[in-house]
Amino acid sequence: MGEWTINVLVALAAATLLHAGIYKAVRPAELRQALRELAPDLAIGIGNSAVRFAAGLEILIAFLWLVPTGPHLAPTGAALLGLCFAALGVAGRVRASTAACGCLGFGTGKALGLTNVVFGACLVAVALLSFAGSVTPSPTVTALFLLLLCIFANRAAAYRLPARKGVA
Amino acid sequence: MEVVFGFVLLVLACAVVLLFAMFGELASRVGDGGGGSGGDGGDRGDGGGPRAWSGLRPLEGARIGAEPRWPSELDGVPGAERAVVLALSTSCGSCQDVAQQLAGGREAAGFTIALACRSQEDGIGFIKEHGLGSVPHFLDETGTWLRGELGVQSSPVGLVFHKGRLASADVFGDIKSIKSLALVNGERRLTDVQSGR
Repeated sequence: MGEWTINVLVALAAATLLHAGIYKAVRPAELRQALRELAPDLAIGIGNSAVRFAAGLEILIAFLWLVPTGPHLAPTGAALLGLCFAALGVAGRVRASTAACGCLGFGTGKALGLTNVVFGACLVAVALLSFAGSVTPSPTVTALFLLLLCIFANRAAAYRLPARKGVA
Repeated sequence: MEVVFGFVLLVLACAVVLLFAMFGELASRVGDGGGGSGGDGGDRGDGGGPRAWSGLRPLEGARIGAEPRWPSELDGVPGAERAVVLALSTSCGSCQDVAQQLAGGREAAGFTIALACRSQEDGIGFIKEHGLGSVPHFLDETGTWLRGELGVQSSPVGLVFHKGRLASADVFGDIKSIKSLALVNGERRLTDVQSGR
């Protein structure tokens, strides 16, 4: 796979992590609820602070991926995050989770499950690819991906505007 | 220079995402779940009149992990593996809506009520008015117990207890949303605390 393609994939992965992290930092209640449903015995320990800490990690790793840091620091962190996402997805699938998790910030209302497994696996794959060569993803491309993700996540608001006008 | 510009652009993009996420959170709090990126949502009515907010919001200041002293009316709760206590008040408008949803007993199965009231007569009147006599309830005069033992000063609030310890406290507007708090392994396991009174 060419270096250009890997750079684009890393930029997309970093943008997705940023979007998910920011959303969870602002709205931790959804993931908190989903985790409490998954592990009711640990419910007392799962608070908004824990979710916001995880969100902060996502944002930090995404930024580190875009700047030259220590050897493979960011890809390692991203791979570990990907494994965590996949594990949570498997746990959600096994325990038939029903609470919306808000993991990626798209507001689809999906519970922990297959989507998380797929995203986690993709994140691990991109992290492994970025180990291979000297990856220098562009922050500009990442910003553009981030804005596109934001538009996609909030498309429902745009759909509702004409309806609102009609009602008024 | 190009890299610096890229990072400035990225920070601005993050700010835009942050703004939209906050809009989504605001929309879910005021009952307009369809707007923004919110998915947990309030009602998704298509243009009708105003409808009750149906989301959940963690209550600030609740003493999560606390093991309160239990009044005799609620002595079925601490022994239960998992129990849901609804903190209601006679003086809050949303609590009237919740009480109406609970009226008749079917929706109330598995719940216990802690009712903050000005006086015993006030509380008894509320219970009678909404036909909640069959639901285990505790009349908490001036809300002393809720405020002192659990740090709860709002209503309606769903309090989930795990073996007598407060596991979560969420403000809610619809009884269906609070029921999801007690979902375990995809099954409703609202603990039977009917013997509490």
